[in-house]
Amino acid sequence: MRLYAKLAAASKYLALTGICVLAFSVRLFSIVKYESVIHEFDPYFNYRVTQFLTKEGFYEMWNWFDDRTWYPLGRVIGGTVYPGLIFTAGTIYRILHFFHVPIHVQEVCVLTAPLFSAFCALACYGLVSQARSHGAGLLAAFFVAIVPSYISRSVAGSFDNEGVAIFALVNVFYWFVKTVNSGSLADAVVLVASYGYMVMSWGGYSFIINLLPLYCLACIFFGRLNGRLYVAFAPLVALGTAISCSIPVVGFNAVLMSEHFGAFFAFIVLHVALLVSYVRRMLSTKHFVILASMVLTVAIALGALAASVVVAYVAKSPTLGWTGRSMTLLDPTYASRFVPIIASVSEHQPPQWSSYIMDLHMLVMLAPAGILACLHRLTDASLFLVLYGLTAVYFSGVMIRLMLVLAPAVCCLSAVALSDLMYVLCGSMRCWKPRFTFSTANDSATAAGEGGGEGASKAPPTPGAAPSPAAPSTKDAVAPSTPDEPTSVKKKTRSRVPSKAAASAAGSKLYALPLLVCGALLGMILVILGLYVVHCIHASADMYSSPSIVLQSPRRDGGVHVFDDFREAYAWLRHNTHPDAKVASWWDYGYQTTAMANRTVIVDNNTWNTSHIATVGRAMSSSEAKAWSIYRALDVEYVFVVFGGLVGYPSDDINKFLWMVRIGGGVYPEIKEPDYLTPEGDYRVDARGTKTMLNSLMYKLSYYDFADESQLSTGQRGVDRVRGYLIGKLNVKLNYFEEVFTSQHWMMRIYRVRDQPLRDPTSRAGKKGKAANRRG
Amino acid sequence: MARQFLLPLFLLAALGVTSASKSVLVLLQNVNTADKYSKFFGSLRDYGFDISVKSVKDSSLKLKEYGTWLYDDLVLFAPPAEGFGGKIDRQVILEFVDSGHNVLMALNSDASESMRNLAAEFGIDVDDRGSKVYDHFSHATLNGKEDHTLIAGGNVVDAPVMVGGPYKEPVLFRGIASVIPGDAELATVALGAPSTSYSHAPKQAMLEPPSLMVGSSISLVTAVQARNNARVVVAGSLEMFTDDFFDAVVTVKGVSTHTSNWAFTVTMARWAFQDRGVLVASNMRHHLLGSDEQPWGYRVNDDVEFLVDVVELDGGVPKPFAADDIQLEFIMLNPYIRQPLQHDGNGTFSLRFKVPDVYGVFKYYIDYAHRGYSYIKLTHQVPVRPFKHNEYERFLVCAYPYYASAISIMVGFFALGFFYLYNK
Repeated sequence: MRLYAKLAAASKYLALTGICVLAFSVRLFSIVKYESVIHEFDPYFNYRVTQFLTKEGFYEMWNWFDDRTWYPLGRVIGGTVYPGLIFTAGTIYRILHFFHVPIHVQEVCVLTAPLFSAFCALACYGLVSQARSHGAGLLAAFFVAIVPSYISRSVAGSFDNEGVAIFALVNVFYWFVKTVNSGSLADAVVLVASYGYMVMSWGGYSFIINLLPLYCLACIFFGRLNGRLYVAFAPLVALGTAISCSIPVVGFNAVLMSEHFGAFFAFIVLHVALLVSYVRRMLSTKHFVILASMVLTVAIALGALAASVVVAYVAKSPTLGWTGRSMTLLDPTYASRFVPIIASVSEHQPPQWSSYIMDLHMLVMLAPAGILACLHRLTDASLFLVLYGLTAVYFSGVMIRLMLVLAPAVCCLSAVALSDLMYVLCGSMRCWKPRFTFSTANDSATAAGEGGGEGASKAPPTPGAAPSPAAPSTKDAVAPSTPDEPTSVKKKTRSRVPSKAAASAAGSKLYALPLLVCGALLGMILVILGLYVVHCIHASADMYSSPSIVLQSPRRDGGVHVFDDFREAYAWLRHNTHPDAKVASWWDYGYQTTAMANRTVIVDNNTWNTSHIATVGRAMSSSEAKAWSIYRALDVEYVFVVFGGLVGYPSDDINKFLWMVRIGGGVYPEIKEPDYLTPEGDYRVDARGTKTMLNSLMYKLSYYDFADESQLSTGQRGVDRVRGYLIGKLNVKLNYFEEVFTSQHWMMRIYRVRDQPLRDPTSRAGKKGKAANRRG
Repeated sequence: MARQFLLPLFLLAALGVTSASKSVLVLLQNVNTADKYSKFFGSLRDYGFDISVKSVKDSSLKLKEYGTWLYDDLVLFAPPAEGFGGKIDRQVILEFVDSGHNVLMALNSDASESMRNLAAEFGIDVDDRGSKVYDHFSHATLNGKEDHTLIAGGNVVDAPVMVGGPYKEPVLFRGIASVIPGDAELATVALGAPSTSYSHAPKQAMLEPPSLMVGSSISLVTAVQARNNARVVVAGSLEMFTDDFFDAVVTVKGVSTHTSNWAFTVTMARWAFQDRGVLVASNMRHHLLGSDEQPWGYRVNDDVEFLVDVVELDGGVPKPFAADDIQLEFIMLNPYIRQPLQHDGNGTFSLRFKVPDVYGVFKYYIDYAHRGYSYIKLTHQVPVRPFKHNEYERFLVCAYPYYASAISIMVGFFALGFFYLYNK
């Protein structure tokens, strides 16, 4: 039997290794299909900072004042960045170079996210095996390894905070549940450390610092309060807050912003609840009631006072002490009403329902079953899973970005559901064919159970399954129902494993299913799992691997058109402009410009200063002369726009233009959105577009000289292939800007802001070529 | 350090050498009339200008050969010329100016349309062909002949570096009026018309009500300094450059007097040819007080000093410039500092100040545009960073209670833990 146990353990580790390899390799499609390149927008910033870190060292990066972004405001990088990802990649780079592995920092950055998704699979395994069983854990690890939602943010090259933060998130949950289960102080220390890593990595840590108090309150409410919970929760709040305070980007927000108040509240409630239970044990019931009523009246009075103070403090700030992004979470309509800059980001939009199917596939169906399964046999850990799942579902409904937080939750819940189902099925089969299924059932049980644990040693003497484990099962079933009584650590760890074995055994005894049904169901499960794998591979290969700076579109002959315009234009900027030249564009392209073109930008994707972005939005929506003076005041020498009208690239600046108008109008009231819309309220750039629209700088820069070019490609002058109609004004004249570069497919058009003229001709001379406005 | 000083010196030396043999192309309507301006050209030659006189219709005219400009300055003494001979046209002249060279134009009431258009390119509106400036009060009587178009009461601008002076004798003028727009930044009225004058074309019927250029809005001689410091002077009278006017003895309001034309026109021409009033700023440098090195940037609240050397070139000879109105700005979106620079008499201008308590990418900015002098426009970018995380003050006295509380909590926790664990 020891051999079986060892085999089981070995196969478990083998499976985990396989899952890790799968998680890593399924994310390499982007390298295979494109190349090893940093993706999208934010990763370029992280990449640039990591480069700086590896070149200049830790302290220089921590103190880095970057004078090449947000000109002329500058940006204190060290104090405004979540450094977890950068430190992680920097550390990996250092370690590799210590062992003389001469790898470029870009490759490290490209591969960090896939690596950490493998770690995330391990963390998921740990979390679910703490909550349910090792078999469920393996399933969870498998699910999370290839879930498309997570793949979308962690393919090779996607060097974004989320790449490590999802691992960090699940890791915190794993250590939390482990500490709740074990009550070990050592686990609590690791928990605090992993929470520190999470805070360092991602702003999403506020999800944890709200979910854990919620769980804590739920435990108190359901009467599950015990010392283990205290060991897990209290140090986390106290030390975790101290750690967050010492990370500059969070700083005093950790005690000042309302997002964190829930934790302090739960912290207090936890202490009060423990005190009450302590006092109740000391006093007789009668005395306790008297004391309770006395204390309650005082407490209510004091509580009202404290609450009013807190309310007064909170009400003092216009957003009630919440940051804009958090307000969006609580009130999904908040951003669209008040903070256009948050609403303008596509990943801050609510997701469509189809994206749930797309991103989670069959897990969407299994997760509710998982919640039921968790509630069915409620333990501390499964209660946590339920709460995690429910809150994550809500948040994912608010912001598409938070699908990421939902993904591990859904994977864990689905794994619980599926493993319960498999237990029932396998148990039934074992019931019908004890001799035949003996070894395999035992194998799976051991694989699911702790290596060589009680489950394994118990099963063999009772191949007929049911009756004998029923005894421990009843005993263990009682255990969670009397939570007030402090269960010893040892007993708890033991109670987990038999209880699930018992349940499945009990199920098989009472409701043993026909063999055929079992077989069919198992077959179906296998088919569904197969479909899931197929879907995930498809999603990874075809949908989420595009680096978005290089685009492909299929050609008729089976090949692909490659649009490499962005890098072409950035390279032009890098090679043909003065190193100190200032380049203005919409903020989406700020990070890429600094990283790839190495030029100073006015605004970038770190949208910390709304009025500065509004200035750029205002320039883009103003007439040419006014835009010229705005850009001159900002020392801008080059302006570029992204234009998709020639090749049909839909996410170009014309389609983003309304956001520029809105953001600009939010600060400068002379920009009014209705001026840019047709009387019917449509946004159009054809002949029905308003005069303001057709005279705006954005229109002019996008469509300058466009008519002739489009005649070559479509045969008709001025047909925009994104909008699909004839543009409103064909002959665009530029007086204050001059075109200096347009990329191959016209996706990026760079203009130079003309200098002030050397002479000021009078109007009499103006007949020939108007020169720029006189005042700068 | 040595190189920093050597470079400007070398530049100055180079400037001095080139200015010694500045070549001037003079275009006349008729080369044979060159003698009329012999004193004017003679004075210029005395100042070291190499003057070549050609006819405006000369077919071998060219300003540029193989991408190099053949002349430094251009004098157009051919008001009626409709076009130019050779390879000169309006576009070439504009290019000439835009590349930093200078033009002196003299017109009269026969000024052609092309001359008028050329003046308009420099921001000067010249009145219609055939019109003259009249003044029935402050005109001069020359050779016993009273002439109401011979203006003698012009207002010479108060900019000695540009026009010389102050002049006791009048500057004689007979010619066409021009105006500059009210918001003109680059143009200066070097010689303004008397307030009693007006411009009128005698052969045309006067409009009712009269829409005339009148009084002091008329500019007789206009000086323009383009943004690249190229200079253009447009004089409404060609005669004011003649020997006749230089030597004339006129009667103005019954008083017999000589004229200041010689001094005025020659000074004006020297100014136009960048022989006067040229400022060269060099060796801009800045450092923290107590250090000589020029830093990459500052920290907020640093004490810094900014220095720049400015010399004035007069006849190609550098001499220290002295002025109290050169302002230094320290700008990030808005100027945080705007202070006049102090000069030490040797041409070094400096300012000590405290960097504001704001971080960002600042720039030093000097935009000096004093009438008559060439512009000084300097920018230099300096980042101002916040404190590094280890530069904050530590162990503040006012924080001692907090240290005490933290330490006492730690000690208390340790003691209590020890007590509970080991005191059974």
